[in-house]
Amino acid sequence: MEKFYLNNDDYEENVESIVAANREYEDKPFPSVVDRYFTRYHYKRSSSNGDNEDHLVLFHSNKVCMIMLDKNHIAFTKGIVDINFDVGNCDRSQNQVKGKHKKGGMNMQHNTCIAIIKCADDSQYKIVSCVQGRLVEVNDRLKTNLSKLNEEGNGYVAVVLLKPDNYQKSINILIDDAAYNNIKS
Amino acid sequence: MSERIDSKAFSEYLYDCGVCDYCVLRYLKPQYEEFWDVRSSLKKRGIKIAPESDESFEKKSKTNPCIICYNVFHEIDELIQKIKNHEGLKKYNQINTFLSSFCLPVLLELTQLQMWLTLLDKFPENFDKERLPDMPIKDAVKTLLNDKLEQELDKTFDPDGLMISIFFNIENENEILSKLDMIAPELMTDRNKQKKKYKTEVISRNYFAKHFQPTNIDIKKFQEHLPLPPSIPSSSLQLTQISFTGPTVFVAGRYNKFSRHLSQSPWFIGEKRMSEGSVQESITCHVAPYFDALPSAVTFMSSGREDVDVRCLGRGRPFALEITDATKTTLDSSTAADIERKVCQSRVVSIRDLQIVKRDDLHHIKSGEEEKRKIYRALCTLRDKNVTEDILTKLDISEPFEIQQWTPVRVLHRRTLIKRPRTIYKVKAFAVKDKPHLVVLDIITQAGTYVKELVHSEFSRTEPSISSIISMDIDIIALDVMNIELNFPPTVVRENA
Repeated sequence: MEKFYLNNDDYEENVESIVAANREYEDKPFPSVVDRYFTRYHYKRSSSNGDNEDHLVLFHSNKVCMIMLDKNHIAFTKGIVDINFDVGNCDRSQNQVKGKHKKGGMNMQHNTCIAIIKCADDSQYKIVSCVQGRLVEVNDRLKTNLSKLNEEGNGYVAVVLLKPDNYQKSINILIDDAAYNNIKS
Repeated sequence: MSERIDSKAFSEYLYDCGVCDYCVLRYLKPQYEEFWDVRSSLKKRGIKIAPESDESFEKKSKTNPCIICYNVFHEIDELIQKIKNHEGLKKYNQINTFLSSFCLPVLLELTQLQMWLTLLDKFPENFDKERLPDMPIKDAVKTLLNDKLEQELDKTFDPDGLMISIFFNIENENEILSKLDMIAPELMTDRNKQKKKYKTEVISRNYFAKHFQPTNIDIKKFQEHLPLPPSIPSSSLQLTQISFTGPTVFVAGRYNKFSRHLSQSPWFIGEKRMSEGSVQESITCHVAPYFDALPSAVTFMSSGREDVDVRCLGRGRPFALEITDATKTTLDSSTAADIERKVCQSRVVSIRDLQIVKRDDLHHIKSGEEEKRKIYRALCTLRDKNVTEDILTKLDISEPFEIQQWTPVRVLHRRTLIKRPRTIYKVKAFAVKDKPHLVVLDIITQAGTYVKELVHSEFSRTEPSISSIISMDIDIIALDVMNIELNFPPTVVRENA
């Protein structure tokens, strides 16, 4: 192992070693990518029989949202066997955006269906946009990697760009992390 | 080919109309040098010149201004003295080149046209509608003015020099120009459509030159509204303004950034300032004063940029400043060293190799942004896992490999969503003593690679990634730019430094 150690003489004089950047995290964990870049919001949703169908929205300060299933979603207890972006009248994986204004992205209302998941018991659940905006990207890598659906961040289903005018309206529909945890407990 | 005109009779006619010596000479196919001493030039040509009238100031005010040039030529000597003694010129005393830009009233275009039409009428054998009858006023003035300025200011003419702008006015210009509407309404229709844009002037020089040509003017109709030859002006043209603008200078160098809390350019979201200071301001505030420029007159350019929390070490990142209205065009080594020292005192930014460069050199800076290899050092964490020899061996990669990188979410609001191929030339991993969960990576990448995403994969939006190579979660705590492989600007070795 000795041969792999970083030699501090590699640095120019007076330049503090990069390792010093870790000092802050000696007695607390280094925050995750989600913690560093996003704010968590929750979208309440339930089946007619009361099952939990909550979604999680990772909200970037630049108004880009990543939509995924909340870890309390009933589907995780049942076991997910398939995700399909063809929602009947429209295949969301055919979504194409152009240029920096993301022209051509499908318009989403907060309850517009982005994908449908199927569980081991053949039940199906819709994944919805949660926010109003433009569909930018869907994560079709999930098709072959369903276990990622349960990983915060890695399990993102879609990226939706909020329209600036809809910002407040969208936020009002969502519940922030603190309030959501209060409801649960 | 029109017949050669008898210059004696012709000049006599011009004098009778009220044309000045200079303008008479303009109609005689002169050489530019002849304007230096217009009266002896005319004499040499055997022209019987009008009695001395313009030599003494007293008499001049009594004689009528030239019907074509409104005495612009007579004003030149006085104008040059005004420029020479102008307060505004003083701060540019270190600049020994200049160029002039003068704005003659559009009315002079009209008087020249009026004279052309007159000559077509009076001397149909000698003039035609296609070829200019004279050397244009602006060409003659330009040459005479620049030659005299060179001599009087002791500066040489150079398009990159100090710009001297001169503005003239003729009192009732608009009143006369407005008659164009009646003379040729069909030629003015396009212009009148533009009126909203140009409220102040009746017609622009370009528009006049483009549309008002003898070939498309009805002389009869013209004469109903404007006299041929032009009538005697009530006053000469007036000098309204002289202004100076210094040359644009480019200064290049390389900068280091030692702070993880400093953005490259001032960072605003809306009106709100997000962080104090910036690399740009740290440099500009010490360079601008030397050139007597306001920081707002300085444009900062660089070969790429690093994130606010990324340091830029090693030889630093090439940058250039575009300084408009500068009062100096040189930067000697000791002054440059002095500026470098001052910037360095900020302790968060330092610069080196500060030097004047040419505009043409700037492409190096921009090409460096897209083409050159960048060398990074990243501090990474495996969180609750410990580094192993196996991991470090997997991350010792000396064969270049390609990654596919979707536009990171953090820049998605301002960049197109696209999958970009990027080459990673080399990766080398190190362990850190007593910190088993840390890994230090030295990475050489193609320009334009998002290194943070290369490490943690951003939810598999970058593939392959450091994370996918070791099949483990790995995250990046800190990043330093170690070098940018661009040999511009050239290294400067400072004496006594």
